[in-house]
Amino acid sequence: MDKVDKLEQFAQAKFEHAVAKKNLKEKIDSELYVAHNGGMFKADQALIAFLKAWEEDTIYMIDTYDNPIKVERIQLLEYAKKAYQQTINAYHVEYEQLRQTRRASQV
Amino acid sequence: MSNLGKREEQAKSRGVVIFARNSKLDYMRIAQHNCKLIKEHLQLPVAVITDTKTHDESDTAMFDHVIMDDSQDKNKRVFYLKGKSLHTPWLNGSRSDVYDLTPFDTTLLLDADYLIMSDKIKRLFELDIDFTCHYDVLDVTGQNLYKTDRRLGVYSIPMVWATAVLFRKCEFAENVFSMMKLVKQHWQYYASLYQFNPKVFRNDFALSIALHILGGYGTNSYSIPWQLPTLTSRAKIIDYTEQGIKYLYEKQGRDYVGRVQQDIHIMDKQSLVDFI
Repeated sequence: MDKVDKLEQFAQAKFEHAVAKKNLKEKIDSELYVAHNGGMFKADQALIAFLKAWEEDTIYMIDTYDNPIKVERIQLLEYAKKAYQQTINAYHVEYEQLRQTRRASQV
Repeated sequence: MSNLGKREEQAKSRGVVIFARNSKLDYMRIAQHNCKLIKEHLQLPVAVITDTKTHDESDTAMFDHVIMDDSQDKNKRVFYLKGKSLHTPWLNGSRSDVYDLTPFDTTLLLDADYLIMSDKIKRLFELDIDFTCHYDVLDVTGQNLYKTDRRLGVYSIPMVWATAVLFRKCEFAENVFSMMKLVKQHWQYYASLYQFNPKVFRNDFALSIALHILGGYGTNSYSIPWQLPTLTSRAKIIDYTEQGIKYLYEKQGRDYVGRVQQDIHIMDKQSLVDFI
């Protein structure tokens, strides 16, 4: 195999990797959503930090559908932390698998 | 149980509805496969809406409800792969009847070929909303092939996808499906008004127009907050196991491979049928 072929194969592998990484990130993002009291919230770092910092147990928050939702702070914090931890742990495992393979076809 | 009790139980019912009407493609086989996936991941009852011909040649025992619909709306659709094309009738016209046909109070309407591989979509049933569907699509081959499908026409309204729609029995949802029927009846007129090619009737377009008008002329959004993962018809499935779907696609004369293990809308129905 000459140098050009090798470089082409390398570029193909990089493209497959980039697409697989992007798809994985989209999948993980979509799994972060939690439903609470009729609303939907993305269990990201900002939500968790906000819920942890707030003092009152009941608050009204704007959900992803732009509706104001009455939120039981402790309950949503618990759901959000659980969803975040499970999802990001799964992300780490799948990301490591992806990193160790040369071609996405080997995953 | 009293009739009142039964009515109350029915009023709270949730389930999935799939249309499956065979043409050259065996949509019922895809629906049967998806029914298994839905039961595994969502644990919800599944209703299939089909026609007499498809029903007579298929085993529908796995479905909780079998609803017959023999209306004759017909389109033609072409699927492409590596220069080969498959022309097939596409029996998609009666989708707007789902409001009257569904046995559930809250319904998740799915395309037969939107394979459910996670419990993610079940969260939508917990929301206090009347209607939601996808506004954005993710081309998992990374080629952004659906960028032209962001709007009905170049200068037209945003396009929504009828692939996965959650609705409750309520005035808003009833009006949306009524509006879709109206758009279908006057397809040429709406095609001129919203500047798209009227050659093939598309439920996506009818739903886009209905939601645009009834949602206050585009002032409201009913979007599911994540993208609709889609495997283009230009990709061919080469393996399908518990680890997900492996696919091959061509880009600038070279073959690339990818794998997905999540809810996925499969556009190349024939290669899916070959693996299930």
